[in-house]
Amino acid sequence: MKGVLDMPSRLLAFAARRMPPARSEWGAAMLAELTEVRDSRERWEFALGGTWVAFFPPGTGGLLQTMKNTVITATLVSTVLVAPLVYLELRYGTQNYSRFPYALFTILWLVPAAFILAAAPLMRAVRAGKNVLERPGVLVVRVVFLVLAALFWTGFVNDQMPCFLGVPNCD
Amino acid sequence: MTAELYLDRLIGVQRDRRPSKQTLSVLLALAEDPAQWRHGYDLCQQTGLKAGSMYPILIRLADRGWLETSWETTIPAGRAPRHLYRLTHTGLDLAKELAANRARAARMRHARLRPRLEGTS
Repeated sequence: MKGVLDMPSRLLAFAARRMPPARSEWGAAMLAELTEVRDSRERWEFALGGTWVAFFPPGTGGLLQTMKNTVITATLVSTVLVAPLVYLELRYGTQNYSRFPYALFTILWLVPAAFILAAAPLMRAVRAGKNVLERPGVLVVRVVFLVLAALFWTGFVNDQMPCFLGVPNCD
Repeated sequence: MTAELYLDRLIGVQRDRRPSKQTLSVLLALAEDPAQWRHGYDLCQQTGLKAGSMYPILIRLADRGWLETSWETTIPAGRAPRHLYRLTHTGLDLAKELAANRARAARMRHARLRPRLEGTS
């Protein structure tokens, strides 16, 4: 069945949109070819095979490699941002591992990581010369999240800085 | 000069790599009528390969300069243009070479098997 309920076509279109720019032509090629596949079972087979190719195209590393790179970047940047604060806390603040505020530092680590994970697709789209205004709703949600995350993190660090520096009676 | 030599070595390595059985079947299908532009789905039907195998092969062949790609220019209304494929000159040379190798290997296998088959009868 085609039209609105054409799930194979929707699935393949979804995957094709996520292909790296260097391979996007092939996503369009598979999508155009799917229109010529009439049999329902064959359409599903073709769409599933094409989806696999779209997510893991040869020669570029594909989505998996992009995800891996983004996670590594997020981990490194978060660690670099939080490490000086951990040092300050251990040097001037807690001075005692048993009272070390693990939950606080976990939050301080997770927020920049989430920021990078949310910002990465936007950065990739801009670098690839794609029109980021194509889906304004998604863009607004993403930008709002990024602004809130940045404000939350800087506010939190600012609030906790006296504790990191060992000011007495801070909480 | 050094860079050229190095590139030659790399290209040499790439050319010497033996294509898989599936790649060979795609090359041979395309070589049947090298002037004819072919569609991906038609090639899938002819070779029996699924899209998940066919397209990575086509992508690699195009990357290595063995496959020429194009888009349909005359398109019926309401349909997106389809991607077309045919072998380049180097691709066709390679397909001929591989077909000859395969025929030679088949003859040798047959020659090796014949005495055994004759021995059993």
